[in-house]
Amino acid sequence: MIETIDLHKDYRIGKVLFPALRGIDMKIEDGEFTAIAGPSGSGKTTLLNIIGCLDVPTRGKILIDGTNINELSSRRKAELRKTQIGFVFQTFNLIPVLTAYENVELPLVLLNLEPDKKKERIVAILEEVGLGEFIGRRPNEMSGGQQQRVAIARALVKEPTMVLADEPTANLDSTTAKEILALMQELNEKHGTTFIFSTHDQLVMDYSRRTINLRDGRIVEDKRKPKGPR
Amino acid sequence: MKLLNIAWRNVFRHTRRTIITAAAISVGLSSMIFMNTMMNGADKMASRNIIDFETSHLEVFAKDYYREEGVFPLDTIIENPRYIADGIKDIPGIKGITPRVKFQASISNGIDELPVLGMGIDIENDRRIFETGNSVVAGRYLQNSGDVLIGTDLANDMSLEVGSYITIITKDRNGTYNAFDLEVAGLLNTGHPLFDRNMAVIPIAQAQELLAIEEGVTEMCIRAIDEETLGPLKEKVSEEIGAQYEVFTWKEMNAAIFEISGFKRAGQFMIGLVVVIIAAVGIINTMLMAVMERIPEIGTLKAMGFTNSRIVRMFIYEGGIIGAFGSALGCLIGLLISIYLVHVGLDFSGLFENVDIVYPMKFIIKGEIDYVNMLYVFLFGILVSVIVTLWPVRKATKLEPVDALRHV
Amino acid sequence: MKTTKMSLLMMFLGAICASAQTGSEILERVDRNTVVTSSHYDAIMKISLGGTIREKRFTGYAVGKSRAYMEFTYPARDKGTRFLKIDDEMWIYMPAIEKATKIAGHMLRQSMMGSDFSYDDILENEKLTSLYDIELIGTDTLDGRACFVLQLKAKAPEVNYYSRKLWVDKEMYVSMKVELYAKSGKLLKEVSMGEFRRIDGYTFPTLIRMVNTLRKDTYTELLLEEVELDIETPDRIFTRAYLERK
Repeated sequence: MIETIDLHKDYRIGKVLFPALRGIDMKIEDGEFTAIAGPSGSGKTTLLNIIGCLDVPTRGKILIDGTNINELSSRRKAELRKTQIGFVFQTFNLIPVLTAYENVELPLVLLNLEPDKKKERIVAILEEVGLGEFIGRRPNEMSGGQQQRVAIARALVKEPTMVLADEPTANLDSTTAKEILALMQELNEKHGTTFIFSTHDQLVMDYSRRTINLRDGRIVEDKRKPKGPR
Repeated sequence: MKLLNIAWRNVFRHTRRTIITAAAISVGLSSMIFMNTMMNGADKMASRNIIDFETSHLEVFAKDYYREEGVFPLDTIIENPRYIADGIKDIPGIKGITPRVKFQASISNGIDELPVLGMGIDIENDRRIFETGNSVVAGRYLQNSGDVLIGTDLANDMSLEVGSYITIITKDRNGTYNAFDLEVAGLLNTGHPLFDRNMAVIPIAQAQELLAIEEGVTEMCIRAIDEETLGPLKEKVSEEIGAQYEVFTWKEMNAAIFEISGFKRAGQFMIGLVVVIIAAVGIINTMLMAVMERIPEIGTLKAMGFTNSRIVRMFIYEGGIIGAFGSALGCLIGLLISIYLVHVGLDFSGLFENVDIVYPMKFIIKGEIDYVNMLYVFLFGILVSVIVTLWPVRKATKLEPVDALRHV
Repeated sequence: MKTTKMSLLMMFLGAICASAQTGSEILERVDRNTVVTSSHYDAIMKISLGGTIREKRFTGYAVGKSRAYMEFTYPARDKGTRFLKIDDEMWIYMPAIEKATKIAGHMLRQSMMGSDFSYDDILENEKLTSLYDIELIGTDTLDGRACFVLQLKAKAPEVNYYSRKLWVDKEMYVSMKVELYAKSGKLLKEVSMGEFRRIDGYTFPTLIRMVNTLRKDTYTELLLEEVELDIETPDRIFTRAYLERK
């Protein structure tokens, strides 16, 4: 479970203090499929980065399963990211010199898995995201949607407790975006992995079961619905 | 999927950049190898010339004779060379012994007078341990009193040929001028400049008469069977002949030359180093570009939980691979140039025409390859590449992952 | 008539006396006639090499045969080069080096200032009569003048030239020409004297010509000008300090 208490984040640009988050209090249970929505500059990426241990809050607490992650050393944070958190980025961020298979393999380099088991896992997850035939391709030989599928596979291959996706569909056309969202939903249900993603896209919000609306660094709305449309 | 593998692929992400960087390293390293080959060749030639023509392996002098290079006093000579020869001839490890008389003189062709080093040699014995007898390129070796061998260069300088008459003038032991007319019996081409342009070789008996030194000689030259272990042999000879004589190895007598050679080596290394530093700047530049354009990638890796040290290691591999390419290429080019130098050599004669030579060799230098040095140069190239990679990479890994990700 | 007879007798006696002179006696007379106690002179050194003549000038002081000082004044590149000789030692001072160097060992055989004189030609200072056995071997005519010919042979081994031949003018008792020989009998150098001037009772050659017989087409001439003899020469001239003065 993720819990934030009065989370603040200020950026200093020159002499001007720019507040990105101004007191976020929320709880996200394990296995949720949650969208953090809001226009650009509302603080959603900042919130995701703090949850993902990539950034630190100026004030306030963030607890993951009861642990205040602000108090962890950078090595411990790296450890946490290595095992617990998967990232999906707006720009995919695949390593261009590596094939789909190798990109997915990358997070596992850090884990001590037997080679056979490792290979099994990679192939399975690539099959799951629908790229069984593309495992030998490099990012520049794939479409945007395919690249994002690789990125999702990469995020999930280490079997994390949560996947954080920052605007995962912003660089995709609407058809592809729908496919990606459907895939994430499917994986959420199948693996029970918590999915939190930021978006300003109505489409994405339609798919989520819970949408937290941010504006100027504050939660303005937190609404849930039983199940998104298929 | 190893880090090395990723590094390897990243190297070929910008093939042209890699090639240019590696080429810059290879220029530096190949010039280091090339210079090393030349220096080795020069040293080897100098050593051969000294041993085969000038001193052999060991030389015995009367005590206090050997004061400094280029001075040939006649007041402290070996008065009884037979005593020494008999005393040491049964020491195992000696291949041959021959007496010599060296003296300052000048020769005249009737038109000009030129200073030379006169040398009296034992006609039969000398050729057993020196190559002088095998270096007669025109005419013949010494046979009779009145014969003289001179170098081809000296012959050219003085317009002499086989059969020409010259006068050799010197002062004898008492300071009295003495001069003999001699017939040029043969011309020497030894490759040793001292012999080829500055020496008049005559039978030892004639030198002794010219200098009024009776049976005396200035030195006894000893050739050893094994030229690597002269120390123990020197000790034995020294013990046998007693304290009124001194024994030196050829290396001891030519310490100055090898000192010069040491300076040259240092100079050579400095030049090579400068070239390598220039190449290193190239690597820094390349790696800086590689790092800058991959900062988001570094961010991604950090987000996945990659530690800084792993990321640094990846880039070090990358720099190391480029360095290894450059080093290998440099060694290959250096080797090819070296092979050329070993077989053909470099002609420096034009450069040094009017310079007084102190280095005992001619200026066509043939190379001598030192493979161990080449290995060191190879490793050095990689080491430099790795070290200079550290700076840009450490800078990049200091960024917070979130800043790295946001970096465009 | 009487006088004629007398003079004839005198001449006859004179001839007998002359012929009865030994080589050493002739040389002693030459020494008395030419060896001055001290001198000061300006000299021109003409070095002829294959047809071209280079001229150098110097000023010199000498006391007996044992002490001498020379300083070159011309041309510019030799200006300030100084030599000091004391007994059998010699130093050279060159302005560029600013330090006197002793000329010793095999350097002594070398040419002085590019001339046909070697340093040890300059260094000679012992009397010939003490170094050599002298024999009168005949007479000769040199430049139209009658000369005794003396053969000198080293008494002891420690001499520069093992033997010499001297031509001594019968009238003036000065050496006209000297030939210098190596021990082997090889002729090495020829020195001839000319332009004799009578100064203060001495007969002094003002032209000395040196020929190195082992070189062709070269000779060196020394022309002495402004010669002063038996003068007061301050001792300080013949010191290292004076040689190295600024």
